[in-house]
Amino acid sequence: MNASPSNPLLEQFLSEAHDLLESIGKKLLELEDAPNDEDILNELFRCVHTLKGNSGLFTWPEMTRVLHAGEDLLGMVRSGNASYSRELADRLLEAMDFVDALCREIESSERIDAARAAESQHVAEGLRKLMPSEAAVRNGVAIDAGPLPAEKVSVAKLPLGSVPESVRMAAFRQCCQGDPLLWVDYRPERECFFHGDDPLNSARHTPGLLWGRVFAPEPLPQLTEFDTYRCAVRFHLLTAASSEELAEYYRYLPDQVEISAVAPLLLVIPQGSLDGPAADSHFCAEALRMLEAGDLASLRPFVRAILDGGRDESWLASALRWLLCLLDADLGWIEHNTRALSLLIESLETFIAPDWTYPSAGPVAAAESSAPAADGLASANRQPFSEDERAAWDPILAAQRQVLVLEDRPAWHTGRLQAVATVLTHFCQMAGNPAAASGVQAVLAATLSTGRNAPLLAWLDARDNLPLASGLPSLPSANEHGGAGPAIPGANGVTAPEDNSGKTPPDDGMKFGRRAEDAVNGPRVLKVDQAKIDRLMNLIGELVVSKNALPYLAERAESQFGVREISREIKSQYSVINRIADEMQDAIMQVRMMAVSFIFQRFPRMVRDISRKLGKEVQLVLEGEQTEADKNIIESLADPLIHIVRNSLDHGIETPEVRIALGKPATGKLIIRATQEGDRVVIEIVDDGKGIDPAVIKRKAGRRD
Amino acid sequence: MKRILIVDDAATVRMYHRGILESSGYKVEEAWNGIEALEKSLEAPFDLYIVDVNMPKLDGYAFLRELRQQEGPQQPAIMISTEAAARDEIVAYQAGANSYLVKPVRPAQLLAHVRLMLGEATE
Repeated sequence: MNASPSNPLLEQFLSEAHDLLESIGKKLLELEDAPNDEDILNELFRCVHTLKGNSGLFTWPEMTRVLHAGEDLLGMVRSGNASYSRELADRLLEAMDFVDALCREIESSERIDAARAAESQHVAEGLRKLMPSEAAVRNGVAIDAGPLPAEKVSVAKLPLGSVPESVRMAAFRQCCQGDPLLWVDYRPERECFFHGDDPLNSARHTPGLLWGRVFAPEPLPQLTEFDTYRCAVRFHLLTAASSEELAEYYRYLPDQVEISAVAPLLLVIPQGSLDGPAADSHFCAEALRMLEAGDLASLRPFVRAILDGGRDESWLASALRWLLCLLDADLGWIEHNTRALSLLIESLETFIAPDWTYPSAGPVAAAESSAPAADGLASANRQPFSEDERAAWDPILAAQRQVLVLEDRPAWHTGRLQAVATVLTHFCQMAGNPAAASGVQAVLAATLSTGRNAPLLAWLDARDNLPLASGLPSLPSANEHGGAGPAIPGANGVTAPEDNSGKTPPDDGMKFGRRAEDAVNGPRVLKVDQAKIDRLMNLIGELVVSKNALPYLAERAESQFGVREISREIKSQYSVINRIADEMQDAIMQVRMMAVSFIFQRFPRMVRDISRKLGKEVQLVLEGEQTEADKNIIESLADPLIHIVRNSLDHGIETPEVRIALGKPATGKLIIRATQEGDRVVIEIVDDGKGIDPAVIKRKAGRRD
Repeated sequence: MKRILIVDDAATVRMYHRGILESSGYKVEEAWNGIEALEKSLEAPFDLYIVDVNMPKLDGYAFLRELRQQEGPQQPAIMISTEAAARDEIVAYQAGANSYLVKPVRPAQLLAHVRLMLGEATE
């Protein structure tokens, strides 16, 4: 490690990447001998997968792209969709060499040369060519998608007003009966036609489609400049399919499709001409009174009477129609949710559409209202949430729902429900609704005793217990970081690890660093920069030199100053220091000792590549890999050994035909053996080839001169 | 202090998540496969588990299935995967996960999930 990276996370990445690449290379060669060994294949897949995951923490598309392709390819081999071949191994080895080169580049300059992009594309394509064609196309789409959105179902501000009222009303009724309602924003890639996509067809056949719209997000260019091979449109769709169905349907385009859950009340948007008169205040007061008295039976005809008198296209008429729709719908949950109705009635007077960012609509009113849910929701306002927490709120609740609708009953079913209950309890606490929190446990008990999930599911679906994210109070300044804690390195999307060095408070580095000591769980091997060991080596050298001055000092004490006593003490102290220094030198030398496997490990790959190129069959046998020698010696041995091995392959071992003709087995044998002899290490390279003919050597040497 | 167990075979990912969580004041421990995670959870249960899918010996799904069969109260688990497919997400829920995030996870996103799941009322 020459230029050690300044960032501990990067350092960790490089060190782990090195190990992973090494085992990938090894596993690939092992697989060559045992192509059907599932364990090796799984392990290989896992290594590539882990490395890909790690690389995703940084912004290195060049690396991630290649690893992704490698992972996909291995995944197909594992599932039997692609078959293992020598070519496949070659491509994968090349790809890993490429990744290794990128790692080195990052190690020395902390970045990847821009010129690598094309190369990376090429390597990745080489891998994808080995996949069955259909899959290659599909995955090709997904590859460059970058990080996929983690939360695909979110509540966002949706342009629901563009949906015609009749469609919205129908959807509203359907939704109140328990059908899901989702908004799909499908933005086909410009190049999508080249991936074989048919956006219009995909959009039109979206499951559960209620309504759809196609539009151009940017003004279309002049007809003469219009490029018919590029997709320039975008789709908005409203569907009653479940999010799983949609995710499955759009599984190959996850990066182009955004799916949002639509709360039914969000559909209630009165629209129309504002010219007409507003409802008079008497009407509104009367309607509110009926509502409060729970007299919906009188309210209905009362509203209808006004509606019949008004103009159809007016805003008022639209609001009244919605009011009727809300009153008529069989709205289990809206029955006691008079808030929605009263907000709508109030809007009749003001012409301002109710703000359905429910339930925070009018916290004052909510606090005054005697509705049972209101206390909990109002107190929720006490606790502010960050943008990300608000974004996570609904998906996590949706996830608990997902668990509750599972129909399997495995052995861990009870534990699974308990965990859901824990999460829901915590959510109640977060929303400042402790009363509901204790309710969860009671409902859980009921759920467990009946063996059916219905009670817990019903509790979760009754929105009175937990607000939607839109009802959560937010932090005053939403542009700040995550909120809960101090700024995090790379908080702006894991983009640039090098940012860390600048932004991170100094003690953060310590936190990362601390890990090394308490990593009892990791392997008990410490990776140390060589410079540190060299420094120890130098220091011990100096210590040895300066300790050798002590006998001289003792001599002088006696001869010059005549103090024999001191002289003797110095000598005895010297022998102690001498012993310790010797041991220390020995210990440091031990640290520098490396197993010859360091050089040996590159031979399998080298022998394989060269022998294949030469058309020879060679079996390599490595012996005594654990024999140790000083690092300097090991390193300087590498090149000569490689030369000898090459020599043996080039000139020693014959081609299979020649060998068979000579009565030898077709596969040649090359043994590289290290043995310890006293304080020496002997390395032998033995092959069963044709040997060296001294006459030939002599002749060649003569010619050189 | 809330204790969180990170279960992941990739040391780089563990370090990344650890850095995020520790700088927000959580106490973090690590396990590099499901077996080790189970052992640690049996010693003393954690308040939250952050679990990778693909690991040697015992993978994330299998770990959660075992965890959910342990005695005593159950604590939330966040599964972190590289697969964005809905199918994988359902398998995670089946195994006993309470939320599902796709790598790479943004620090603020991870912290949001952690804070909500732990339910610390700050009042």
